[in-house]
Amino acid sequence: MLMYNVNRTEDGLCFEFSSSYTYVDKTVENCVGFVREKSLDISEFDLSVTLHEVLSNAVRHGNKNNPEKKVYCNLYWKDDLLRIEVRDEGTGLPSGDSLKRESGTLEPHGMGMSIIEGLDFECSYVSEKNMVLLKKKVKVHPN
Amino acid sequence: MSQTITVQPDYNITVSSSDVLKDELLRHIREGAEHIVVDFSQVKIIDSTGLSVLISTHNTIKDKHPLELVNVSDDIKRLLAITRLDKHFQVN
Repeated sequence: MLMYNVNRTEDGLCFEFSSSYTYVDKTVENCVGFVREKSLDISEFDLSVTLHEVLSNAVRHGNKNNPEKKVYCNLYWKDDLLRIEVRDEGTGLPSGDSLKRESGTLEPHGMGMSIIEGLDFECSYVSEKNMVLLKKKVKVHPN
Repeated sequence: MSQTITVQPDYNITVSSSDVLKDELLRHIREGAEHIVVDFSQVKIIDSTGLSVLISTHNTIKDKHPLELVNVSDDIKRLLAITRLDKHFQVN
């Protein structure tokens, strides 16, 4: 059965959902709502695109579109740092595999991580947790 | 004279919706379109899956005319620059 769960913490939001692109969209909307509510000085476009990339990747490549497998996403903002953690229930990246591939070629695959870095998110893969970690310095909007 | 088709998606082109655009573009190619214009006036977000659809379309028709994108927002132009796709597509 498909499930979608979101919990609010003191510093952010925690999501757990079945592998579904509809839930990816919903999670992106919720995260954008959070940064808007906090008046954070971050481009909603950049955040939306980045979340779409990493969450879709978890559904498609991590969980192989298996709706019985879950995606876990935590978004925190604390001490002017926006931190996003995404885990799936797949087997993880092979040791030594890189998240980043070439951009600029006319191959219709492999652009996601280049986009994330191009949008100035610091992106890393924590292999022992099978988790993609995104970080970006974000302050409250001056206005 | 090549046949020009304009497609105007009224949704964000992400993984959950890109198949809709892909099907529409493929249909126009099958029907003989040689110059395809995608009007981005109602598109706020596109992700790598959406960009992949544009790349596949461009690769199919580029010998006749590069894929043309019009009414593209500054944010999406920035994304096209990051991926260097602005060097391949005709962006207005």
